[in-house]
Amino acid sequence: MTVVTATSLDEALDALAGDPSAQLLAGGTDFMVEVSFAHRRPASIVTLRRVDELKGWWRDGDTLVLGAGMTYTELQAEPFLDVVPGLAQAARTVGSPQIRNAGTIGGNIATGSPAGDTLPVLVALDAVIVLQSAADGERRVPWNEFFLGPKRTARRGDELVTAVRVPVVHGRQEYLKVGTRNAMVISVAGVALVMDDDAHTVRVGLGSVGPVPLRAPAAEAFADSTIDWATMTIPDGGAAQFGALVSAAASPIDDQRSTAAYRRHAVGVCARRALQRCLS
Amino acid sequence: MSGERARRIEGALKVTGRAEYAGEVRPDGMLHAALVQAEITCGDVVGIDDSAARHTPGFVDQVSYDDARSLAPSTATALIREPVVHFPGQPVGLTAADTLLAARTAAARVRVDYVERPSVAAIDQALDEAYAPAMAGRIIGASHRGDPAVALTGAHLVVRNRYQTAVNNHHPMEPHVVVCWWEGEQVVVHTSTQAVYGTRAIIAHALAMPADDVRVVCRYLGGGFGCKGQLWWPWMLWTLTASKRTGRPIRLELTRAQMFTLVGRRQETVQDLAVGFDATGRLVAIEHDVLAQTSTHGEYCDTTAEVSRRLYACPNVRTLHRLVRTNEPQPIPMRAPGTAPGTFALESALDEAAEQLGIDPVELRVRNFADHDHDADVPWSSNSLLQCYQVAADRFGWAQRPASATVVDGRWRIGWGMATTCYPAHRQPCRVRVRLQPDGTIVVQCGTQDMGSGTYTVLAQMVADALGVPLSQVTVELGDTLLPEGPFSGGSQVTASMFPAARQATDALRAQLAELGMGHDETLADAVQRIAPDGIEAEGAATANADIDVRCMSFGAIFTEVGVDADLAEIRVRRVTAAFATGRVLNPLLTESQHIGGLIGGIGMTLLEQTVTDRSSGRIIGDNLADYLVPVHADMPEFDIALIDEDDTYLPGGVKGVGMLGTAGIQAAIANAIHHATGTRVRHLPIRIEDLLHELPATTPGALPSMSE
Repeated sequence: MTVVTATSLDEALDALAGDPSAQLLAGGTDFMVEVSFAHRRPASIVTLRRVDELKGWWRDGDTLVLGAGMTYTELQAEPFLDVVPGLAQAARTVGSPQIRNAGTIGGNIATGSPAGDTLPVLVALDAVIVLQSAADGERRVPWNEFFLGPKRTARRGDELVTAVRVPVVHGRQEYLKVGTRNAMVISVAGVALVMDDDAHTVRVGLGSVGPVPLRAPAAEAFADSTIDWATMTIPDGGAAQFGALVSAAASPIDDQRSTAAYRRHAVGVCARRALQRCLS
Repeated sequence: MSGERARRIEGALKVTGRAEYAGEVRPDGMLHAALVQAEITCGDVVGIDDSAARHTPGFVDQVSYDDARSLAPSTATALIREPVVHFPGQPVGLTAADTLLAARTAAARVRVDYVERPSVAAIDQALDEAYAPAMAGRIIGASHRGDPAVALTGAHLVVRNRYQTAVNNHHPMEPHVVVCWWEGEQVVVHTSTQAVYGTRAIIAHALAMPADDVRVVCRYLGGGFGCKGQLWWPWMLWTLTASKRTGRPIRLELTRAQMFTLVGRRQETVQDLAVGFDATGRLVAIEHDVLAQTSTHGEYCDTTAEVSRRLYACPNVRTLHRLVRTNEPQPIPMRAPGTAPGTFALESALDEAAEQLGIDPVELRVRNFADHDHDADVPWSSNSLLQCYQVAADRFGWAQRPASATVVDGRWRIGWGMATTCYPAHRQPCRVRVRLQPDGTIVVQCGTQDMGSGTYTVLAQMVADALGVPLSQVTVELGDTLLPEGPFSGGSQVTASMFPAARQATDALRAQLAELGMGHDETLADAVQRIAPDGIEAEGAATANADIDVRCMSFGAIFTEVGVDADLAEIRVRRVTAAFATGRVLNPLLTESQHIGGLIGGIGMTLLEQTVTDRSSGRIIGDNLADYLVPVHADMPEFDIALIDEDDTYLPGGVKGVGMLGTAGIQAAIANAIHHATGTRVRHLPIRIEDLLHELPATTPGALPSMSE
């Protein structure tokens, strides 16, 4: 096994160009579990923790650019609590403090697990994933072209996820998660809700209820047209109907953590509650 | 009388990493060991080929059955002497190498040939082979008094149900480990064990050595809960064998996955329980039949039905334990053995009866209070259960209990439930040595060990109090067979066993000093300098309880409030109020800590913990701490613990054990509260979301959800 400890973006990209099959290692919170269970024994590893270009964040007009190396601990605090509160809430539900110190948003994106906690928020925000390679430089891929299946993404072997771009949206955001216990748990169902008070739209992202993180277009359209945006209220039964439409958008499976039926039910309940919270 | 809320005296050492655990001992030239594990479920080992393993760089040795044939036959050596596979993952050999990676690589290269036999992977696959063991734990397996069948026929109300509990694993944070080396004919063994003396005895027997040539050391334990005992001994003995042959120190540490199969488990139970009452709510009959799993190589039976024999006053009682042998790992005691599953059944049934009789659940229990042990027909040494009910009910606010399924707090449906807990108060023989040093400080020695529960601290308190010196003047030495023989850490016995021995030692020390002419107003420090400048020491020894003409038990009452999410059916324990009567309370802080820890374990058993087995192979599914769920901080409620001080004049020192009490009773208290919140009665553990969501497919024990990942 060879290990390249990259200390700059160029070093990391050069290493990947030379060996596109290399395993990337940032926080290790997904990969090391697979090593532990002997599911994977890669021949080469490129580590990213010392790549400073992946750290930090900046504003690009109305867009927030989050470096792939940002940890959940960073994301759960200010200024993100104000700017992207849904993402901060999602980051806070990940693992334990130690896991949140290690795990990164880039890792969450690049691993592409349908249970990744930040993914419902990113898809609700219509995030754009920034990839870079030595050969082609930077390319930007919308989330719905990036996530292809369970742990399958559009990232080429010679590419690195360097950042994720999300719009700064004016309005309330919620992330609700159901797990088999109250913390340190993989999501059974996750719902992110983003209200855009200027555009008068509601966007919903769903986790753990499909092969990739999903949106619920019918539910969104229903909410957009049913909410009274002047008073920020919804008629009686509207939130429940919204939840039912979200349930209908899910395509979950049975596994050891839960059943498809419960997951479908749970995302509907969480979506209803998220909407009620945003309107309260 | 003690009673200071002293903090753990070894706490600072532990949190700063200076406490040396067995696995941290690193002698020069140490080899690492790894286990070769069986890939079949049941059969014979007919050949072991380690030629490929021997080519692994760093490989040093491989031991297996042939190398253990010279060990004395016993239950501790059967699995390493006889080439028979009883369960999947059973070790069939051990490799030793310069590095852990090399040892594991070599282990993976050992080729084992088997002749497979048909296996039984679950108890319901061999129900016709169920048999009644002579003993359940330390009690007779079957009991009968009066005529329960006739009494049930004439009863005003009969509640008859089946209750089931799942397999649990202990999972202390610190896994089992041994680091051992030979010094000539003597062996030094550092191992994480609940019994340094028991381990020494088994090594001496297996290797036909004088016990004095074996030194076992375990200064600190990262938890045990019942699994750091005998089931580990075969693999430890293979390690000792390899160390002797190679002449090198060797370290074997189990992996978390191995902790699911090689060190024991809480056995699953299927309990058929019938309780009959007269119109006033008095128990007229109990029939309690328990079916449980044991392995094909060992017999273990929890005392599950014991609570039905003696917790309440009842003239007609029949209990029976039966076992089914399966090709699964061997069960052993796990915190609150017997009383945890047993009270789940009995205390759930009493709640069902209370509702049907229209009697408050506490009142029903008060009416059936046993003023003596009806099973043995002997008095209690003490029994403050009625006071426990009263104190806990008052603090909980039980008198304001609303009607069932009426209280809502936001998205939560609220329910209240309660149950009784109990555990026998046993003691073991124990010796304690107390030494007054020339500088006036005190050293106390006992060959028991501290599981993390506070043994160091309470022993220091006992001696400091008896000698009238500050706690800071007392140093305690535990966990070494060079010290006077002390009890194993199990069954909530250590503190009660140490107390009379420590008192005898301090009395003897004072008597010696008096004989040497210690002045009436003289301090120990002054006296020792004047009359015994080299220091002076004394020993005390205590025997076990006779437990014939009187029954010694601890009791408690547990009240809980749960919330069940109205839509998602998530279950949260919101608060627990409990009162425990455990004789003399030596350290309220550590005692409360023990009770809270016990309750947390019980909450885990009730709502989360379940070891899942593949029904065709007997293999454990999800043998890791991501899939085997234990409660985390965010799952924990507020705890309000009341300690009922008892003056038990029968027990020497009046001390009863505390460790087990919180891990029983809580299961039924939660199940009863869930019923109160939702109207749904769940009679199996763990209780899951699916059990409370009726419009969704329900989980039934034995038909587990598919395991696709």
